[in-house]
Amino acid sequence: MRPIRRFFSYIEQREGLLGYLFASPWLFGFLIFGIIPIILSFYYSLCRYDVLRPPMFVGWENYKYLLFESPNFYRSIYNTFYYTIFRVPIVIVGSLLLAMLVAKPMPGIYSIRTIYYLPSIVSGVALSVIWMWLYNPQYGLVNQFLGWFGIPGPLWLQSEKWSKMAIVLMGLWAIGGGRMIIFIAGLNAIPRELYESAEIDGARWWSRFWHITFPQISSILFLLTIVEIIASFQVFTEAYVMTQGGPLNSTLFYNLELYNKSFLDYQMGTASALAWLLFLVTLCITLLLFKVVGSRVYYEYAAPR
Amino acid sequence: MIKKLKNIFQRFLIACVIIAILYLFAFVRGPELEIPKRTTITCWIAMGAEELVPPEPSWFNQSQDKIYTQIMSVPFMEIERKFLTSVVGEVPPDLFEFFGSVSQWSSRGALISLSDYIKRDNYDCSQIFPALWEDMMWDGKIYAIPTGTACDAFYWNKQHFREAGLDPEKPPKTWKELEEYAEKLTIRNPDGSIKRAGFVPGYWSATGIPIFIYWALQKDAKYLSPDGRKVILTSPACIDAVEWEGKLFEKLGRDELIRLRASFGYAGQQGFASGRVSMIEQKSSFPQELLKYAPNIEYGVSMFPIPEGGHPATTSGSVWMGIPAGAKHPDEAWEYIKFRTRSDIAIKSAEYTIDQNIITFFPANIKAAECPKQMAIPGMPIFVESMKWAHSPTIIALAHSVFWREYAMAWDEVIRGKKTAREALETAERIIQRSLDDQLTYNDFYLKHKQEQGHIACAQ
Repeated sequence: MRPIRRFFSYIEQREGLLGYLFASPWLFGFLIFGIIPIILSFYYSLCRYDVLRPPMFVGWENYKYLLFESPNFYRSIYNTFYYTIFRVPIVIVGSLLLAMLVAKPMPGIYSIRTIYYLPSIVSGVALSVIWMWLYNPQYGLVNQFLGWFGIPGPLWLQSEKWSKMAIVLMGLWAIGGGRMIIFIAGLNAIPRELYESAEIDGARWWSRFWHITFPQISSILFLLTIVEIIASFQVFTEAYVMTQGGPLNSTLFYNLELYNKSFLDYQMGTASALAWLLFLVTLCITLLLFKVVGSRVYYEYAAPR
Repeated sequence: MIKKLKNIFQRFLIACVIIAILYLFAFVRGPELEIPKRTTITCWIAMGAEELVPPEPSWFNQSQDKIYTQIMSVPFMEIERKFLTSVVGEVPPDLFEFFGSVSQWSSRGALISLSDYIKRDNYDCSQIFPALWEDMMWDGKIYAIPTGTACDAFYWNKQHFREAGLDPEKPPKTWKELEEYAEKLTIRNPDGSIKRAGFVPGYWSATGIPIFIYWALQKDAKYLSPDGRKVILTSPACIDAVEWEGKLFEKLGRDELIRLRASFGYAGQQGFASGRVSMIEQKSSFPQELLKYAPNIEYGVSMFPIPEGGHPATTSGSVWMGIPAGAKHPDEAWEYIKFRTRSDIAIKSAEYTIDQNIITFFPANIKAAECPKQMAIPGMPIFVESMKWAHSPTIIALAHSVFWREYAMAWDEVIRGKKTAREALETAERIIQRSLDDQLTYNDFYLKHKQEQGHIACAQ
């Protein structure tokens, strides 16, 4: 009699189980400190809650307030989108260009790469304080530099028109960072024969870039773009340290609004609703990107469909 | 095959045991401060920029041998959240010293009521400035005792007055005079920008733009209806005050003034300290700041100019001490509070602060505020006089931060000329009202919930 054909053999099942057993400490922690708080936060988003007192169930009130009545909600979404739309291309394209500059192994290239990488280590509060000084309209270096060319600098962080752009331009600080490293790795993985055969056929540098480099690193570009979009939706520290929402709420980013609602106003229910809406928006955008661009990305191994 | 698997299983067991042992190490604590035969109580205070060690606990510990007070300084940016977490986790300190709104804690049951202690021990509430008690109360009970306070006052640069041909000993006494003097004192550059501003309404320091409401309080503006359920930002007094400040900005040149204000910094770069503003609204700790960063400035201190038919007003918050809900030694904590706020200790504390050259609040205890050393600080007599007219900056306890954010936003819109005072304040009123309504229903729910539970907690 033939043995019943199982989906996984006995050994495979056993090994799978042991695998889960070894991962169980982490799984356990993730369940308690990750999954359960996320589920609880959805429950709290349907309540009024200030941590010190028990939650009061109010149904969809918080969502209705945010979507239909709160003036700051749409303001914060606009601010965050503005920031994202400018930041993502600047950072991705900037990192790629820098990477292309330093990808070829040349003598001394490692020192140059390190120097380009160094600014990205400074982050968060320290960086914000530095830039507050740089952006000072009268004594800051930025306006002094513009003054050399006869351009009267704007009020930067004190102006409701320029405050967001000021924070976007701060992001140039980071283009030599981890993204550049990843691009360098990706650029160096492109097989040399492709370039050689292109040169033999007489391709110019633009054709070489567009037809060889760009498709080969498209998977990295795709990944980094999505990661960058998700990260820039969560911009917070700069606004918190430098402008606290800025002149006339011009730098009231989504995360800052969430912080205000949760730790200043003690309205954890509304804050949880904000968090879940952010999750939904990020999810939708990511899925959209996958659908529109995902199928055209080149992967060296079999492409996932 | 079974043998091999048993081996893996054994290894897994050993790994688990090792991890468990390592985990147990997490419970090892440093030696707890145990003073024999004394109850130890902990007090959390917000650590300022100067990392001071307050002397009062050691005085207390030396004066008796039953209680030992230990101070823990928590960084100022984290203390609120840490306190919140500790109360929720039921491991709060025995004492909490903080500044700002008491009612954001007391209305949520994070502090215990001190009214019973006050009655039991016949605590003398009159030794503290009367204006400060308003903020300490919630629902008819007292939740904290003030130890220090500050108020806002008007400063003017005597040198600039002389240059502009004004009498340096006569500050403006009315709104009209303030407008005239501001115009006279302003010096402009040839290209139209302002070199020195006579007066910048609402300007205080480089970080943020705190909005001052005493201009409205001078005409008795009421922001909350008597039953505490309705927000009123559109009273005539309030609209007049905000409109007037907007007109001042317009008169002196909106864009130029904003540009000038944007260039001010901290300490020596502060507008008044660097001689770029002639008259300013500032806190009562400003004289000590000026002594430190700009000792050459000849300045005067007075109460704010008042409008026609108005009276003096100022805002005054306080540093206070309260006992968190769930504290392990509330009785001992109360003993420390009594000690700390006693008149003689308050005087000693004030003298210590002045000797150490610390820029801080002045004592909430009236005798200490009027003691000779404290009165020797420039402007102190004015501050003590102002306390008669002081208001707490906690206007709407249940929507405190929303109130200030939206009010500041409305104010900002008016001075930048984006909206009229009425429009801006109406919008702010709507938003704050909505927030207050939500909090009131939540509060009612909470009280009902407690009644149903038969809860006789100390909190409410």
